[in-house]
Amino acid sequence: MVGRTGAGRNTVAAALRHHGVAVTADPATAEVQVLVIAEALKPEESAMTVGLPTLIVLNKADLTGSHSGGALPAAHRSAADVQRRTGVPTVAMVGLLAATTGASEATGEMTGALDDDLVGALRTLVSTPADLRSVDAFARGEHPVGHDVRTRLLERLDRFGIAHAVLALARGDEPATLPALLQRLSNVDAVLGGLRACAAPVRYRRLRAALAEIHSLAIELADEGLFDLLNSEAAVLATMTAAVDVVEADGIRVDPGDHPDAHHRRAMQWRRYGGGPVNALHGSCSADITRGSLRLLDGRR
Amino acid sequence: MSVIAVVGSPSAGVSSLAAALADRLPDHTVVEASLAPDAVVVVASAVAPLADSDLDLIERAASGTDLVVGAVSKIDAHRGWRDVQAADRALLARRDERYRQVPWVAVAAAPDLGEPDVDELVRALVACLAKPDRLPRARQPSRSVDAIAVRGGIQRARLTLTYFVRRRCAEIGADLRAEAAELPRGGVARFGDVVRDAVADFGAELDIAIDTVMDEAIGEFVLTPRASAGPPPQPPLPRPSSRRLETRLMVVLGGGFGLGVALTLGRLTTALGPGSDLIGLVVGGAVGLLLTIWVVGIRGVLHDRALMDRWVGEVIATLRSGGEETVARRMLDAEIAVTVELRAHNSVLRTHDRRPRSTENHGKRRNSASESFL
Repeated sequence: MVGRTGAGRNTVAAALRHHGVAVTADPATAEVQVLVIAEALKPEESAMTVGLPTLIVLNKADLTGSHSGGALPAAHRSAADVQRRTGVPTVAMVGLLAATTGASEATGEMTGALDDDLVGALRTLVSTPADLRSVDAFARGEHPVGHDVRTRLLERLDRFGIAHAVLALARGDEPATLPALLQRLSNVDAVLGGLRACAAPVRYRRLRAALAEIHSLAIELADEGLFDLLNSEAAVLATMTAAVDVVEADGIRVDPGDHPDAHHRRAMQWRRYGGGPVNALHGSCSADITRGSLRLLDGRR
Repeated sequence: MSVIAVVGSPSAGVSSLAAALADRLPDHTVVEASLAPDAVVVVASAVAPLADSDLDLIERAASGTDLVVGAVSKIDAHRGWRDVQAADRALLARRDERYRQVPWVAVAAAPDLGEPDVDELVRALVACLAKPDRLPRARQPSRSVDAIAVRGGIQRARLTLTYFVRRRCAEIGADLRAEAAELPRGGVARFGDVVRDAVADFGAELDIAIDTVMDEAIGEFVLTPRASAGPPPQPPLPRPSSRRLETRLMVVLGGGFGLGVALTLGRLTTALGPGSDLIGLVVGGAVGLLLTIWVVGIRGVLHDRALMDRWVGEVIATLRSGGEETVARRMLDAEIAVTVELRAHNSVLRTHDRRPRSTENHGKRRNSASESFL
């Protein structure tokens, strides 16, 4: 996790940690790099994109100004612009809204619900609109909701989150649905998707290394069980899945069909692909996809 | 009227702030970039503290002035703008001693809702510009306008002179070609002198033209361009051509033609009567010989004319590129002189008193694109 001071590196790190991503600030142990930028890409930031596989997160997407059709569309446009200029996948995000909400891994329930004070304040805001022209106007203006609660609201949701939460409550939504709404607004799912795509080669290499290890162990110990494990459907298909992730992250579509024709066609196609002028990683991936497809074809017969 | 330059990194809100300031300060010229502004407004977005690249940009922009005002923009959107402002102040002060006194204000030039809030900045700017010791005494209103005008004048002079070189070269070429087409027998040496004279004349003419045009463009300012007179364009010498083979061929052809004429004439005179054999032989031989010499000579003259025509083409091409090079060199010298002068005299161009300067009414806002065009 890298980024300059003030861009929201820690907020985004907290958000990703909430969603089950292991985050470190140490570049030596990192396998994928997330570069957090805000507003615009600075020259020193674009110099950081070399080296590890990188995902750029354009944080503070809610603050890009809503003059040209809303803050989030504007942020998505500038993220696309950064991606075009750097060639590095770039996703816009509202780190603040994602940092406190997240699906608990054990239960799948949304955590980080707003406490009663804040919900009460939001309900008051529905009936008595506050001055949302600027952060100072909101925090300092005259309003039935107390100053400290308004400051807490700002720190928790900022104007963008407050406005959306108030609108949702005005529509009659339950307060319990707010965390899901905020998470949707934060665009954290797109960030996680981008991260998954970025990390696909890392996962694939790790899997291959593990399989190679098992292979040498199996030879050393002459263990039939290990050989069976290596040739088991689970191992072959897991490798294929990782390989599909790698090539799809690079923008090549893999036919997801699940009938003998599709398997046959996919095996042929990726066999041809592997014979073409592709790098070693893609060559190895295409071999694994071919192998997996043939195994699937075999299982269907 | 003062020139206020608004500078900052991309998407820090420079354009919005410049527009808002131009609305609020109609008495001053607000630009997004300037060679020598009276005041520089440094825009830093409240999204995060300044990066090193931003500080470099600010230092470059603020080097020409002693009045710098820092403005943290977009304070309507960012909760932590006070921290960012404090951080920016510290970062800039750490860069250089002279930025320690920079006043920092907060603005929201283009808020999503409500009116632009640039009151604090306007107050700070007006107060700073009003301080007498801040500003140079004389000619402060138009000093950056002067620099822009001078550079514009130099560029215009370059266009005029380049056009002049092309036009004159075409004219001289046409004249010389016409002369080459009429070249008399044995006139090659004289024609060479004519061409060399024309080249020398053109060199002198170009010098006069450059002096005149430059005097119009920048004559009112005390500028002493280093007159680096490069070598005058040397016209290429006519290519030596070996005519031995051609002469032989022409002698054979002309000889055949003359022989034919001689035989025909001889035969005709023989028919006149007895005793005319000898006369026929002599007359036929004489006419044949004369014709042979004439044909060979004519061919030689035509060859010389073609040769001179080609040579004129080469000379004109050399002349034109040499002339354009001279123009470019003199313009460069003038620009160097302007830059040296600006640096030596604190961004002020001194004028001669001999001519009053017409005060041009420039547009209130110029964008940086049109400036860089100038």
